[in-house]
Amino acid sequence: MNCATIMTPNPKAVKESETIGHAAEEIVAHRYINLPVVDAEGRLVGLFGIYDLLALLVPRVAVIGNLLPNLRFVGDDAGDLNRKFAALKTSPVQRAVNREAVRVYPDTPLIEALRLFCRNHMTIPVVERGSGKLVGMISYWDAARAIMGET
Amino acid sequence: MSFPVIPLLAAANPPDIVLPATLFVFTYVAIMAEKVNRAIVALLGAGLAIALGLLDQNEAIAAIDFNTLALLAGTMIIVGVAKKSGVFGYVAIRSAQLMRGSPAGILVALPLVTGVISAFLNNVTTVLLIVPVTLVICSELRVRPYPFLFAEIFASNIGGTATLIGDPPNILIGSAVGLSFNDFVVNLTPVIIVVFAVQTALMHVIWGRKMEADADHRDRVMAMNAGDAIEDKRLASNSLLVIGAMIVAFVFSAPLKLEAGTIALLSAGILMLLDTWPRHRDSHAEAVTEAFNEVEWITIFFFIGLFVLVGAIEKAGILDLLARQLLGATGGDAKVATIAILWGSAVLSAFVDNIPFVAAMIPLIKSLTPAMGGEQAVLPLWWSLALGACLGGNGTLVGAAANLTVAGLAERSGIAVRFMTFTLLAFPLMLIEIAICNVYVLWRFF
Repeated sequence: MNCATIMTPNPKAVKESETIGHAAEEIVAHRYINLPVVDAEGRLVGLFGIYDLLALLVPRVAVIGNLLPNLRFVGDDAGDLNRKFAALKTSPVQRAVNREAVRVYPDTPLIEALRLFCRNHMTIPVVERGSGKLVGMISYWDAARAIMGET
Repeated sequence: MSFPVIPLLAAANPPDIVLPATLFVFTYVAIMAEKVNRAIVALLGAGLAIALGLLDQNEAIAAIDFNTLALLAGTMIIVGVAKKSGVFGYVAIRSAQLMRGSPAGILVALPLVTGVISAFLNNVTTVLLIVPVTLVICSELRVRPYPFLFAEIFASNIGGTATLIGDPPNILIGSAVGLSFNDFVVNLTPVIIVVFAVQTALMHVIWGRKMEADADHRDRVMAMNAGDAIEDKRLASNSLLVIGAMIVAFVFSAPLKLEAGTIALLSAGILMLLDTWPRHRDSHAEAVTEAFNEVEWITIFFFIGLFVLVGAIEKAGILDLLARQLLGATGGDAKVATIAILWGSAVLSAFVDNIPFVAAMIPLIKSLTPAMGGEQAVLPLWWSLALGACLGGNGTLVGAAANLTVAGLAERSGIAVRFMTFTLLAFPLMLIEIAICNVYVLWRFF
């Protein structure tokens, strides 16, 4: 069993030139964990997910490594977060895309996909070998259903 | 005087010096090239020095300055345990609030906090503690963080120069020459205060006076609850108590008859005891392992390798030979040698690691001592070496580990700190610092 067997083909994707606001609306409306971001030719650029969206609103230093033990000392101000998002939402999503996101090929064995799920806790894009074109997405739910014989 | 000096050969014959000199140069070039981790290079160099018979194992062990290693390891453990408390974040936030959230004021306050902490703790650790809080404050103020990061890099290197324990070159020099914590405070701290004041004024002229932030954003800084930055109040008070006691012990090290390394390790032991005592006994081993993991073993083994390597060239009489040449070049004039060491070490340290440089200079200056008129006469040379090697690190982005740490942190936070942009401003500023030191050493010691 490989990733092609369990993937959702032709997944919803956004172009890298589209705005963060548009990508955010898609993520929230469909409760996506990750939304693949593609270039004009349909090649995968990376992922933009709910955590990438939320991380835009937090000082980046607070989400890299363990440099800041907490952000409790920063005053609670929902209005400020709204303003931060409003300032960001017209920027192209390519500014915030996670280009280092793992990817698999259609012929990648399921066991490798399971390893990646365990390590990254993310949905994973499936790309065509060679061209890098997005062909599908796999989630841990897809994998679990396949293992339980529902596929 | 705890730095072991292997007796010099009366006269070195050329064949005796070729092998150790070649090994030394190759090792130092490999360290500077940074293709292989510096601790590996230093250990290979030291191992080869023994394997090639340049010195035997007993001589190699005698060449290692355990007081320096103890001081480094002890302070690393203390910082590692203390930083978990969040106390340094608290101090940084309070200092920003004392300036009423004004960006220009914060450009003075945060570097001042960085400088003061750096005088007592490792520079890299200091910037790792202060820079993240700085970036959050800049984010709240909506101001460009680069000037703050630049000023904090400078402050960490300037502050580190002020005391015996502030920067590894000072630890090396102090231990080798038997200079106490108080000696450093009396001889270096005054000029460091002046250097810092000038630096702060220049930062204000370059950036601070043009900085502005909306009242709303300043209010957000004022609304920060600094107390919430403290993760563990008990650990915070214990850490401040132990660090304070350690500094007092350094000041009274002579009447206490204790070396700095002993004081640091004893303080580390006390802080670990205070940290682990209230916990369940089953978690003691985990807490102690965590504390020992804070020791930067790369630095410790790098020092061990360097000590052995320098011991090898010292035994071969190479340093004696170099000292005679240096003596000839300076005409035996301590004033000329002092100025040459100050500027030479500053420019070199801007580009290469100052630790191996200082490790090699120590026995060289020791060899000069009799011809220059004894230990008192060469004291200005030691202070020049400390000032040049530590402050020189401000000259370029690769001049000191703290600079690269801040650049790395900035990059991961989406802020570019480029080598040339940094150097074009930093190098002239570093030269101004050295010029101030030049005036000071001439006025103070001659």
